[in-house]
Amino acid sequence: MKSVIIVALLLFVSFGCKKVLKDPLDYYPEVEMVGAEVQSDGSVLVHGRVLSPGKYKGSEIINVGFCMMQNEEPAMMDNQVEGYLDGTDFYGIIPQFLIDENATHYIKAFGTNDFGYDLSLAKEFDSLYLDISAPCAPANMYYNFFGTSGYYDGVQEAGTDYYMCSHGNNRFYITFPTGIHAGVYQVNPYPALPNKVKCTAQAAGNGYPLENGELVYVEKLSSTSYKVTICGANVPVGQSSTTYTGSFLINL
Amino acid sequence: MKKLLIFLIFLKSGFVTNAQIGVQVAFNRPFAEFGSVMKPTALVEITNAEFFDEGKFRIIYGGNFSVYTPRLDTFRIYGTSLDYDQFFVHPGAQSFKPFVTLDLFFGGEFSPIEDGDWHPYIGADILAGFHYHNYEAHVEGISSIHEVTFGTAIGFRSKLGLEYNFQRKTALFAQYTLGTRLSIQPRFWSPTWTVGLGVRHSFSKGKY
Repeated sequence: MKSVIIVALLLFVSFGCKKVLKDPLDYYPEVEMVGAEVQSDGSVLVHGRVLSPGKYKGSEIINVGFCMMQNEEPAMMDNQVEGYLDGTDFYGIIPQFLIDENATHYIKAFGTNDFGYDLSLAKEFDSLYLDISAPCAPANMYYNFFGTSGYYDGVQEAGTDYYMCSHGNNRFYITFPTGIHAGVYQVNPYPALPNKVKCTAQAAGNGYPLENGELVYVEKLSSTSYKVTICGANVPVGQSSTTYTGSFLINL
Repeated sequence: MKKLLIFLIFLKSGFVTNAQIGVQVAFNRPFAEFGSVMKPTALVEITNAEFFDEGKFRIIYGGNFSVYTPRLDTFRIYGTSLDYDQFFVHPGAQSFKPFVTLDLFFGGEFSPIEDGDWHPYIGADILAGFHYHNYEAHVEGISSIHEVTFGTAIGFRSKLGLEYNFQRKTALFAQYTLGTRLSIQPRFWSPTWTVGLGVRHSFSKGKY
């Protein structure tokens, strides 16, 4: 029994260190939105700051990120991008295709700890759009493309926009995760990612996806048409590879 | 009511001979993660124990009851997901109805002073009990839960106290306890400390 009492007394000391905070909101982290800067590739570098990881002893930040919308109160899931911590500051990249020309964008920062999360006040940004031109200008739009949004060929994921462009035996397939927007996209085999597209070039019946990470430039020509340009993208073909250059028109 | 009567008869039945029935009311403060969610509350306790001047060590047992209310109407919680290589944080909210506990405990107390009216003591109890747990949690796009549980729990606590016996029938005491209980389903710890005042009385005829 004495040993039980000794253990119990030791627990007095160890538990006694866990002080309860007077204000229950002090358990949450506190973050603020600092700023946003347009990068040369059209993406936007967003900057947040951790004001407090939470006042409970041992609290630390677990996740940080940003959300953005064209209304004054973006919700956490609106165009969310992950952030990375650098000391008490944190940063994230908003891909260019999420930025609309001539629009005001509102961005919030958020952070989480073991108890919950904090979503900062929104900051307003009037000019985050940067027009990015493709580094090549194919002489012709080789193919007379037609929009087939919503077309399903057995591989399209729910919620994505799928377009097929063709001329003769040559075809080009592109899948946008959340609808087509102007911007620079990276090729990815999984089109569900917000800044990635899935691209397959098909010549004379042979279809090959563009290599992951290759860039696809989408330019808005009108409210119903977009120009897609690919400049020398690598296309793995079996053990070897070839390159693909093309400029295509998508009419919605 | 019938169960309460059986419990009181058990307390009075002589499980501990020459015992005194005690009642304590304590300020009950949750702490650690449990304290981030629940407000301080009252704890009401009924005990049965021997007198210290029958020995330096005594057995004590009894039961206590407490009702905890949440510190906020809703608490901000979150979930995470990984969609291919894209990481997302999903906001959520959690709310609690009052959390009710009813525990039975059994333990021992030791006082270095056997004679006299004043008895400082230390002790420890193990406990087992029940609770009523009712909460809702919603994480956008991930989960939505409404859980109502009549669960079981085990736990322990340590204590420091000072008791004063007078008229050889009655004792007043002040007590500090520190302990925790582990709810089995859903599984979580609920550590608390208490500071309380109580009275014990022997209902035996003559000298206890």
